[in-house]
Amino acid sequence: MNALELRGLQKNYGDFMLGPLDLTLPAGCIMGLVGENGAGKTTTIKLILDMISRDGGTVSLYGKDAKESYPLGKEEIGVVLDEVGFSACLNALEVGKIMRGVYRNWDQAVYEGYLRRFELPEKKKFKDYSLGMKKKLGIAAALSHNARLLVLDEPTGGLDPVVRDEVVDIFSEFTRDESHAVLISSHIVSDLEKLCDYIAFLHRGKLMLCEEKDELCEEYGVARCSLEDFAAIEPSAVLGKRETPYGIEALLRRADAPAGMELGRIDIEDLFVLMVKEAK
Amino acid sequence: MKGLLLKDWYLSVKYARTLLLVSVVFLVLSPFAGDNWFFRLYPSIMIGMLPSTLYSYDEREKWTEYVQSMPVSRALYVTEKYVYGALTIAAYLAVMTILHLIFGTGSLVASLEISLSIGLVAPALLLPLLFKFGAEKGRIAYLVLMGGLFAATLILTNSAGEASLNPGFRFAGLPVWLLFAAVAVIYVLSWRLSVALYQKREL
Repeated sequence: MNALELRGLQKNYGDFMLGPLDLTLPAGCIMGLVGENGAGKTTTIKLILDMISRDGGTVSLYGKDAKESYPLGKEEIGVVLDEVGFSACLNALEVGKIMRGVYRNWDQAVYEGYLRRFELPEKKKFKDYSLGMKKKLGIAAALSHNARLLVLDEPTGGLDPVVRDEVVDIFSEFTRDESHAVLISSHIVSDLEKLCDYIAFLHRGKLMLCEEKDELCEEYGVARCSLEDFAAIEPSAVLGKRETPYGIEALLRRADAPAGMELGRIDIEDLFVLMVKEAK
Repeated sequence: MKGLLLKDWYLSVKYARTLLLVSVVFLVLSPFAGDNWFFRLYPSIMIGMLPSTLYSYDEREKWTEYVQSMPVSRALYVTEKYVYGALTIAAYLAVMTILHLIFGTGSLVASLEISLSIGLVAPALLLPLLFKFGAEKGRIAYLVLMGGLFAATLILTNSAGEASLNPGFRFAGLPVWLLFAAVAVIYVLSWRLSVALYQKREL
């Protein structure tokens, strides 16, 4: 069963067009949405949650049309937005009481467990929290109502590396239940590389690729070569390149690389940067 | 709905504490104020403004976006603001009635009429503008609307003479039930309009 399916999803802002997007997130998996600022990551998330109106396409959650299943269907989605929207004057205890009145499946014990785990002061006002604490409170709320799908927009932004690592582990734990899934957008590609099963690249509103992470690393490689060697490569095989003091780094599909040319392993961040630079 | 009401209660107590306190003081003083309507009008206006004030906070603190990620439809979000407004005005009228029965002078009915009208009609005019244009532009649109209404009222009352300056005068000939029904209809129509406008708005 697929947790999330986007088919031909579109949004037209006049000066920016998102889509049409086709994405499939199988249950039990984590998909990372990568893109530069303004690529359409937040717009995609808002369309999935029906926070903005779409100009075309469909969104399905666990096989059901999302629009038809909302608002009750949102019981099944845990969300962390780029800006966690709690009122500045509230404390974590009050947030818990409010959420208990909003979600039918709110689990106060789980919520309090996360407050302890994240070391969040229960009576400190939200406005006095650091950026990282605010994110952690948003994550605690998203994980405390028995959601099956997590939709996370930059959830690790503002967190220090130690807490980021802990949060990434929590998201991994979440998908041990095979009916669970996570869609996560982030600029911190190293987090996504560690966490995700699938990677989707968005660039200027278009989906550049969406593949399993392991396949990406097997499919693509980086050739580190001199200018002369680079000139011998068929231009159509080059998906991206950058000049370095030592020569050229070129992104190639392994299948298209000239015979005998050794390709190094490419990480997701370099793959994304090289592809986007080429697309520009 | 319960969670949203609780959130607005927390925000009212924390953000609008001074406003509520001044309203309570004025309310307590109102039975002793005789014909001075200020003590009755001021709390009605302030308490009537609560839903729009809360909406402004919601928008500023991005709650309007965040709440859409929850199992809360836009219609429910709007409805809660109207329910909260009606509940706070009802509580205000109940306290006013009790104080009047203990200490009061003058007409309780006239006080209730004025307080209810101001407490519900003002937000009924303002809220649809906020839900259509957002807090900032909505307030500007409201000021323009109120300016127009005020000018029209001035023109009309000029022909009615001195007596029309007393708020009680305006309702003197109107049956109580009719006034209450008219206010209720305006409030409900405003709610329906706000729901329709907010459904279409891009946040």
